[in-house]
Parts: sequence; structure tokens; C-alpha cells
Amino acid sequence: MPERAPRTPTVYLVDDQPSVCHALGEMLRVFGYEVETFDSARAFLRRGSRERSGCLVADVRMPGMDGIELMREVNRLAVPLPVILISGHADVPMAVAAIKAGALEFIEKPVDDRQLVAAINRAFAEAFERLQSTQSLQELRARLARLTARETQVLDLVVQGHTSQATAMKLGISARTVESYRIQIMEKMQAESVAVLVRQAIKLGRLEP
Amino acid sequence: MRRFLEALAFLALFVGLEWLSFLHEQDGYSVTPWNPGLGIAFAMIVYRGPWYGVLLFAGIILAELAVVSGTPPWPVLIGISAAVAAAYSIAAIAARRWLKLDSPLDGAGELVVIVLAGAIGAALDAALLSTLLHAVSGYERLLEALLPLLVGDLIGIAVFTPLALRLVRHRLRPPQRIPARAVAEASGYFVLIALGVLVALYPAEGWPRDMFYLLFLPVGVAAIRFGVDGACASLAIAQLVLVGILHFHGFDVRDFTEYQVMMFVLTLTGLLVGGLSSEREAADARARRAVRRIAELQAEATRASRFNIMSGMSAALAHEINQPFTAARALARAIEELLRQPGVDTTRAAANAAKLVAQVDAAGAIIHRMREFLRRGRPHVSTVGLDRLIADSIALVQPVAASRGVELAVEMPSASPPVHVDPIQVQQVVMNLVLNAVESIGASGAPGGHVRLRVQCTAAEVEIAVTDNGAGVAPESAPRLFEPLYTTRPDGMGLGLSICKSIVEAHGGRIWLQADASGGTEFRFTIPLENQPRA
Repeated sequence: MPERAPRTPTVYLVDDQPSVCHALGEMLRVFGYEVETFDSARAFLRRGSRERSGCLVADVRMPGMDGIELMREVNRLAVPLPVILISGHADVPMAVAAIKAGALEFIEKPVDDRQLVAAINRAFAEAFERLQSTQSLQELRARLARLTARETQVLDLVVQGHTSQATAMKLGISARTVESYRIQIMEKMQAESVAVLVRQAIKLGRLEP
Repeated sequence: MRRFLEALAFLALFVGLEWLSFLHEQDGYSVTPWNPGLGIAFAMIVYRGPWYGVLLFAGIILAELAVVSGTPPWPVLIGISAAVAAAYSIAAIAARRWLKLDSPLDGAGELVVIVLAGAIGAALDAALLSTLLHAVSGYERLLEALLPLLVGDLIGIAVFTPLALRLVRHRLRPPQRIPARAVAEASGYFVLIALGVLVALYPAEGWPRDMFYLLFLPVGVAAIRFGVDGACASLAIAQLVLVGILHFHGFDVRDFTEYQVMMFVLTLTGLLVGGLSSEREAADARARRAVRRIAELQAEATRASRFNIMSGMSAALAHEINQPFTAARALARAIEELLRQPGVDTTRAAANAAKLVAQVDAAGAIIHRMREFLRRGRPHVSTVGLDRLIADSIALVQPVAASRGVELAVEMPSASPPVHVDPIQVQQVVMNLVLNAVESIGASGAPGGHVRLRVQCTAAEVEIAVTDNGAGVAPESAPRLFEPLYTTRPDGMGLGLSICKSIVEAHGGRIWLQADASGGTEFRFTIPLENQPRA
């Protein structure tokens, strides 16, 4: 899979109030951010999700889909964006619900720009990390794809803790053959030890952590 | 000290009046059937208590010594004076104690009590004096004079006690400024009364005698027009003119007594009419005060209900005001940052500043509407555009509907007439109905709630309908919806709809629950276009 250069991180701003949406967008642009504004959660979701990078700043109270629902939708995506929620109606239960649902930050209106900027920067850092780990996952997947069907079977059994003997018995092949598969697997997966192999398997979702 | 001066003034007045009223003497006693001094003494005993009974005793002795030429022996003088003072003091104190004669003296009942107390005093006096005079030989002839004496006492009390009590109660000052027209009118009656007395005593040749009844007319009219005060003043004038003429002319005791008996009947009639007139006047004033108070309470309740409405909307409105502030703050920071940057983009900064001003104005408009809605002061009728009135109402309730996820739609005719109403009160009705509708959707808990406000105009009236697809009204509560204090909500005060009803009716309109609405609820009200509102 070809490595794609990461896009400039962007602030995706979603607020049903055009004046607020425009004003916050204008402020962030003047501050030097790349900003895209949307007047509803649906409008944001309609826009293709593939090339997104950055963070989502959304109003909590919006007609149709509200900010917290939008955040749940975004969290289900392949590459979830960090979410900052803003609300003119901040009360404690709402803030707690927002944070529990995975919001990075919950900011009251009128928005304190220092708080917002700090949150956006934190979100960008988080997004970068997420991207990195996503990229390493993609790398692992590519390595896994190079294994043969038999090697994959052996990998699964080995990381589950089966000895070469037990693996051989299960697959009805000789222990020596298993040993040679294991060498192949370690090489293709670029794993120095079985322990590394186990971590990779967990990351790939082939093993319960 | 003041009390002492008052007592001295009383004694001087009493002796003076005794001197003035002294016409006939028998065995060293004034037997004139006119006793104004006693009337005043009676009033003072009622007003100040038994201490004035002692002063009355002293006054009688002083008057005897000063006025009458042949003074009876001391024991007789003291006995008679004591009997008179005791009889009237007992009557006055009894009236005060048991007949509650301490009220403002503005009804027929209290005047009757005074005359009754006077009669009781006279009866007591008669009993005491006859016992005393029987015992003391040489004064039997005085017993014959007892009747004119008692008539004089009674009429003195009937004419002068109410007048004196009214005067001392009001510290010799009128309770309110008397308009010049009333003074002129009253003077007219007084002149007529004086003329009436003259005609009664000196009928022209060929006229019938004893035209005393003529006096009933001016006295009665004065009593009807000016109540107790009119009656008291008229009777005092009639009495003074009568006595003055009798004095001047030298009528004998029998004639004098005859006139005084007629005067007594006139007095009773005048006092009764005056008392009843005052009572009716007072009742009218009370009714007027009550009506005014009810209107005040109504206005207060209406305003309280507006505060209640507004407090229920405060969270939504705070959110609504927060929006422009959020935008304004962001724009201000953008401008600040732009100005700091090298090669300032003034066009962009200016555009942002213009938008900022618009946002501040938007927040100001919301606050202005809230303040107008909560404005204190009297109901204020003016001619306003119906569209403006509806727009102001919707601007305030829209955020509440939005916060509950309720869609609010407005249907207005393309051209709406101006209405002559109290705009704030009608706005209150519209907002109350819309908020109730939003509330009822919240209670039903179903998503997709919507409220529709529809305005229709005919030549005669404006009809406003508020429809929702909420929980609806339970059939058993429908007939009671507009009753005060009736509510179906646990946190409701039950004032909203009853106040809506009073506002709409004060504007000459009607408000009702539309029966045929399918599901949900529909309220309608009308405002007539031509009728002048009573509010």
C-alpha cells in the first residue's frame, strides 16, 4: 500500500448558527488554522471521510443530529477524529456525558479562544498519534498479507501459546515443518521474538489481549 | 395642659350658651326649652369620658350663679345640678360602652343611638328631678316646667351632640378640602332654611299658619346632598334662627315648647336622611375602592404571570443571547489578531467589525424584547401591527421550542391589519399558548413535535390559533381549563390560561379550546378589530 503524505491538519467546525459558525471559523483562520465549516452534522458526514485529518469542533445542541450523536458517528469511522464539543448551555451532566462519550474537551460559549486553541492543538497531536498508529497497523496488515494460508494458521496457533509439537499435532504435519514455518513467519512479520509476534497479533485483532 | 385648656374652653362655652339660651325663669331656674350647652356636654362625655360629667355639674352651678337672678338655696342647687349631670353622664357613658358610640358617626344607626341615649338621659333626669323636687317643698311648681325642660334637653342633644362630635373628631377642621361649588350650594340651603323659619313664624296675611313643614324640604335636600354633616349644619342653623326669632319676639314657654317639638321631629328626620345618605355614599366609595383594588390585583397577577413565563424561558433565552455573544467575541479576537499582524488587512478587519456590531445588536434586540415584556406600569393600549406583535412573541418563544426540539411554524396572512390592544398583554397570551403547546409535546415525549401558530383576519376580528401534536387535553379537565388555580401540571400554578382569558375578554375577544382538533390540542382566541378594549 502506498504511503500517503498527511494532509494539513484541518479544524472541522459544525454549528447550526451561521453567525457563530462563521465568526469562530474566521477567528481560527486569522489564527492560522485550516478551517472547514458545516451548518449541520449531516453536512459534515456527507463530506467524504477518507482524507480527513485534524479535529472536529461541534456545537452540542443542534436540530437533527446533535453534537454528541455526531461524535458517536465519527468514533465509528475507520480513522476517528478527536472531537471538541462547545455549548452555550453548559451544565455539569452534559459535560460529563460529553467526556464519557469520548470528547477531548468540552467548552462553554462564549468560547474562550485560548481554551479552544489549546484544545485544538492537543487534538492535532492526538490525531497525529492516531494516524501514526493507523499507519503502523496498515504496515502490519501488509506484512500479514504476505503470509501463506498455512503460515497464517501456524501464526494463530503459535500466538495462542501452542508449542510446535501441539501445533504439528493439530495441523497433522510434522514438528519440523512447523519449525520451518515459524522461521518464515518471524521473517515476514519482522518479529524478533514470539513476544513481539503476540503483540502484533493483538494489534491486528487476531488475538484477545 | 392641653386637656386643662380644653376643659376651661368647654366651661366657658357651656356658661356662654346657657346665658344665650336663657329666656324663661321659674323659681330661679332657666326653664327655656332649648339646651345647646347640654348637647355639647353630652358630646364631650361621649368623646372624653366621665370626667366631663363632673365638668357638666360645675358648669350648671356656674351658669346658675352667673345667669339666673334668683338663685335657689345651695342644697337644692347642688341636688338639681348633680341629678342633671348624673343622668346625662350615665346615659352618655352607657351609649359609649354598650352602644359602641365611638365610631366615625357617619351612619343613621349611630345618630339614632345618640338621640336614644339623649332620651334615656332625659328619662333618668325626669325621674331623679321629680323625686328630688317632691322631697323639697316649695319647688312643686318647677315640676310643671319639667316637660319643656326635657324637650329642651333632648333637642339640645339631638341637634348639637352629633355636630359637636363631628367637629371634635376632625379637630375642628374638615377632613378634606371642600370645593367652592359645594360651599355655595350648602349656603343656598342654609338661606332657604332661614327663610323657611321666618315664613313659619311670621306667615303673611291670608297664608296658612304653621308652615313649619316647609323646612323639611331644604333640610332633607341638604342631608341627601351632604350626608350627616349637611344634616347637622342645617339643623343647627334652623335651630339657631328659630331660637333667635323666638328670643327676639318673646314667645311664651308653651309656644316655644310647641315649636321645639316640631323642631325635634325635623331633627330626627334630618339626621336619619343624612345618616342614610352618608351610609350610601360610604358604601359607594367602598364599592369603588373594591373595584379599583380588583383591577390592581388583576394587573398584578397578569404581571406576575409574565415574570413566571419569562423565568420558565430564561435558560433558553440565556442560550439565545449567548450565541451572538459567542460570535461577537470570536470576531473581536479575529480583529485584534488581524491588527497585530504585519501588513494589516484592514478590509477584512473592517468587515469583521461590521459583523461584530450586527451580533451585538442581535443580542440587544433579544434583551430589549425581554425587558419590554417584563415592563412594569399600567396596562397600555396602543395601535400596533399584528405582524410585529406576532414576530416579537415568536422571537422570544422560538429558542424554547428549539431547546425542546419542537418545530415552531407560523402562518400569517400576507396583509395583517393594525390592532388596537395592549401589545404586551396580547403577546403574553400568544406566548402562553405556544409555551403550553411546547410543554405538552415535552409531556408526550414523542419526537417530531411541532407547534403551529395560525393567524386569520376577517373584517371584524383577528383569530389566532395555536395547534400542537402533543399529549392533548384530558376530556375531564377541558371544562375547567380556564379556571384560576386549575392546573394539570405538577409544577404549574394554574394561572396562565385564566389570565389569558381575562386579557382576551378585557379586549372584547373570546378564547376557547377547539374541540375538533384531531389529536394534540388547539387553542384559539379572537381580538375584535373595531371594539375599543376595556383594558
